[in-house]
Amino acid sequence: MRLASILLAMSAIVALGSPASAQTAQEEVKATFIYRFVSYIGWPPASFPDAGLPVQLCVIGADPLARTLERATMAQRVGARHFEVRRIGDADDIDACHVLYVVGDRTAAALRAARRRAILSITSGGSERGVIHFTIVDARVRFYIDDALAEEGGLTIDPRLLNLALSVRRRSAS
Amino acid sequence: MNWRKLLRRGFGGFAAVIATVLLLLLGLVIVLFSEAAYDQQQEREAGVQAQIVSASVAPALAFLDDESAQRYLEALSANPAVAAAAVYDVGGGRIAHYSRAGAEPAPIQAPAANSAASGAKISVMPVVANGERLGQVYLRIDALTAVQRFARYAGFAVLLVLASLVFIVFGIAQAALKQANEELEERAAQLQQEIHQRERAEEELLQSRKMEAIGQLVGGVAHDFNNLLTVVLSGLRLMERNPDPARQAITTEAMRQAVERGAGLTRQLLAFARRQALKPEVVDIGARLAGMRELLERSLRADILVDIQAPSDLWPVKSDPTQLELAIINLAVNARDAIPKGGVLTISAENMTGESGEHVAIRIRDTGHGMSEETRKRVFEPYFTTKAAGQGTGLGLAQVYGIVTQSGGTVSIESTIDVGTTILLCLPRSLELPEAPTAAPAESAQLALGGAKLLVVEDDDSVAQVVMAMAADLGCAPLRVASAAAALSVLSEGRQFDLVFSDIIMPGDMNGLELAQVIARRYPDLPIVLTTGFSGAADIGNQFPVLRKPYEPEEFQRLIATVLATPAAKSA
Repeated sequence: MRLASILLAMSAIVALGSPASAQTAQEEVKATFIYRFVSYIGWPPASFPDAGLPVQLCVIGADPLARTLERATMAQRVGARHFEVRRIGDADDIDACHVLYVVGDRTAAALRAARRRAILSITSGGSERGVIHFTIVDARVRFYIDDALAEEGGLTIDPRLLNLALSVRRRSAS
Repeated sequence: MNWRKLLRRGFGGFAAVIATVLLLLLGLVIVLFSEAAYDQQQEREAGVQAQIVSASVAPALAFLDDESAQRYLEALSANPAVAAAAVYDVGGGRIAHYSRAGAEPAPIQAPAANSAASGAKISVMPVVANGERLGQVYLRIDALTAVQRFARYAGFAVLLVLASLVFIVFGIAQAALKQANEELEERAAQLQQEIHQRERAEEELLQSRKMEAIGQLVGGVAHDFNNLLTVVLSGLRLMERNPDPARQAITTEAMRQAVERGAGLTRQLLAFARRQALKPEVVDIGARLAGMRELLERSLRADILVDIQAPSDLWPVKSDPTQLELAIINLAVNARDAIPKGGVLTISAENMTGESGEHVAIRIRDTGHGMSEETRKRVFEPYFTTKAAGQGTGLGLAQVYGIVTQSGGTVSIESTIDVGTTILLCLPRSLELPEAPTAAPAESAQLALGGAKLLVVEDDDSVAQVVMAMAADLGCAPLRVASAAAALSVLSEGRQFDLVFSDIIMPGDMNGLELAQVIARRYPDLPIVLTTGFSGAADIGNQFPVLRKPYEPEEFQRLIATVLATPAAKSA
């Protein structure tokens, strides 16, 4: 774990130089996007039994981003709710998550666990894709949306957000 | 026609100008209000559009999607009012912008706040999502160009101009109507004046014809008066020489008759010579002929016997009585001139019913020398005369023809040389009745004279003496003054009188008629009787009763009593 983080840090440092700083900027953008998505997502009522409950932003495999997210959401609110960033090691521990950002080798397991649950799964790079999948186009952070997957979990996505996606896998026509 | 002059003249035009100016002012006010409202509306529009854009581009800003933001802005091209729009990120950098063709693009750096430069409406709206400021939106609506503005008000302006034209045309029509009315009134007044002048001229003409007729009679009248004076003069000599009372009584009676005849003759001459307005009225021809009897008998030559036959049951006719009398005198004078030495003039009237209806026929027949057929045909032409120069004007028979035809009648002539001439005047019967003669005063009225206080105004001492004697005889209490001024001064002293009896022609500033008018004004309850022997004092009117000289004591008594008994004159 520690090794991994060090490796990650090292890889980040290795990746530094001009591309490295660009990458850092992209991570910050992703963090910003992650909490901003919340405004455009509709959860079933069961996800927020209490009006004052915070929005649980769960992060797997991306500690620097989690930190950035913590910092970014410190002062942010969605309605009356504030954000709570949780770093998660085990994919089984995602019950309370509203948003799950997952990267790395645990992605597939986490996505499996999140499937058919009211969790907004977000992935970045790789072949495994959550409801929202970040990608880089022309050095800018863009995303795909899998509305069908969102439907399975009982989530609704604001059309305005759908409009911004590079592509959308539509939910069933019914 | 000069419409400016019309506008100046007519109130209608003036009102139309006022109305037009008011209308244009109203139009201006409406345009100003409309402009202000439009301005506000544009400002609201800019705000609303900016809000819509702000809400639409919020996700694009949130997720740094410049292309989407640009697409949203491009959609604004559907709204032609929007001149330019831009989206700025939170750092103020322009990430998307749109401007209509030809319009100034949005600034590169985010502007500070809403502003309105040179009529353009600019709205700057922050983009906020979940309390997080994402950037801002700029939206500008440009002011209307002159052409757009004109197009906006063109319809309104056309209506306004049409309405103004309607007002102006209405005003001009009003002014023209007013002018036409004024001209019409002017012409009517002119016509009235001309009619009046013509009437005056006709009256003058009649008067001069009457004078001409009297001139024709004057020789006969003078002869007759000579006879009367001879009777009086020789009577006086007889009385001086023969003191026998029985003889004197006979002589006095003869003298009295002579004087009465003379008085009757002058009365008729004066009545005939009196100026009178031309006025057709219902005429009793019998009465008229009887009234002229003495004049005709006395004023024609002594060798002519005048025979007047007028039955009392003649129908009335409608004619001007003075003209009718003038016609008969003219015919009588002609007859006199046609009778060379001794003859008979017969004037007769009778009712006649013929094919052309009911007429009163007046025949003037003489036993004169008659006239030739050629003369007979021409006698009614004006200025035709067979008399020597200076003897006649040739207008006598023309006047006869004029009055008879004016009265709807006819005139015809039968004449045989050396036997005589008969002129036949046929006047149609009038179904109207002659004016009722004034009722004879009641006996009781005469009693009212006893003790009546009379103010006698008379400048001539001998006439005054006679009047005072007559009044005293009737039991009145008369006071005589010699002038109008003296009469007014006596009245102003507060002395009470029952009646003022005044001569008309008097020396001094005020004549009797003027005195009567002053008295009528100051003492409206005081009755006035005027007297005059002068026919020329014509326009006395009928405001006051007039006793014409010479008069008998009975006439004096009758008129005074009638006036005193008339309630209107005595009413308090």
